[in-house]
Amino acid sequence: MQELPLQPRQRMVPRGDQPGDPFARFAAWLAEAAGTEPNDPNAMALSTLGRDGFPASRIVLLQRADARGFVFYGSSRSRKTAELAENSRAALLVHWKTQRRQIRVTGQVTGVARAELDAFFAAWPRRAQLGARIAEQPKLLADAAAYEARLAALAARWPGVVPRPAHWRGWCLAPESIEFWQTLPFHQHERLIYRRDRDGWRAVRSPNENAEA
Amino acid sequence: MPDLLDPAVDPFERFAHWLDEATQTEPNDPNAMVLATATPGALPSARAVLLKGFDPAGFVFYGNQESRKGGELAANPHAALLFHWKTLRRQVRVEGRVEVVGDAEADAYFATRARQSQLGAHASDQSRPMAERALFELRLDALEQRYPGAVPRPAHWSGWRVVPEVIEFWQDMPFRLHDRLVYRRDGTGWATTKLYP
Repeated sequence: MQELPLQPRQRMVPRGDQPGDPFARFAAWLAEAAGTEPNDPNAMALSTLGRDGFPASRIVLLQRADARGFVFYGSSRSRKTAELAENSRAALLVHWKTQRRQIRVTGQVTGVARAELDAFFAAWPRRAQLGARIAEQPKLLADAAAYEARLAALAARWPGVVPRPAHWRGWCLAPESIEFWQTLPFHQHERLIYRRDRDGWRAVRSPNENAEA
Repeated sequence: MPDLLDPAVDPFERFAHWLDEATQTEPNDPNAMVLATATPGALPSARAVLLKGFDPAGFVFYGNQESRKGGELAANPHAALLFHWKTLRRQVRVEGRVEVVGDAEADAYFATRARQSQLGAHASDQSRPMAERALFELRLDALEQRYPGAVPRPAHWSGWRVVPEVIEFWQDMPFRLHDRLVYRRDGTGWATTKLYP
């Protein structure tokens, strides 16, 4: 196995400092990961519970993260749609191996309004929009030529605006806790946990930094 | 284009093959996986852990049984595992019942760990607040004196095995499509379902 050396890094909150805003910290870590991850720095595991109480996880892509919440998209035909409809509490885990960092988020999920979904889809390049319409069809294409033929057919069907696929859904997880975890040199770990309270975000002090989650 | 997933291949054979490939391509920690558990209040929780062994009996990882995940697994012994190998654009999802591994198996694995990790397993009160880092260091020093030779496995430190009910392989295909193959336990064998895109 290749092992990346861990660069010396600062502690998240040097002694005497304030823990700061969790969303600013999230954005800073995401920007750093975008420079080192092989692809999809915005990939995160979405964990839900089925009706039986058993957990399930899958990768989704983060589309936006701010104080309103963490937004991701998917298909209404998927299992996560059914599970979130039954139990809207979910967990997100972003794991950036190249950074040896994790961010854990838990909270309540609500659906994203259709207008926001439409606006998001409308901002895509036309070719990607047509590609999303192709992906709707549960049919595997033989080769690039078949793909281009389908693209051309759909382009002719929608010479102007490409409508958003009807099965598209979006969700926003409103965070109740956000935990930042990173490896320090010499196999030490550092954790910083923020919890939402009435006045905003409170950082939990003095966690056992080598603790397992 | 990657080959389409062949349902005739045994799921553990395919997993071993994918993990081997990931070991060649991932920047680090090819054996990292997301472990999702449920709290008694029906809230999912997830964290990354490292796979330390697998065979047809299940997928094994180790840690402090008194950690948060240990408490959650004791209350609801069902878990989901998710491997995400970005360099290969592949995922493997595992769901199943969780059991604690036997003492002999845990002892054998513990004995292979580095001495510092063995002492660390004794020194830390997982998931509980610790006032001072210095206290942890002091405890480590005391444990060095106490165990000059072999370090025994602490009673609270052991492994869990996820016995799979479902194993899903997911790979990215060109043109925004995905190839997904689900194996579901069926008597002594596996029933398979193809999903795409």
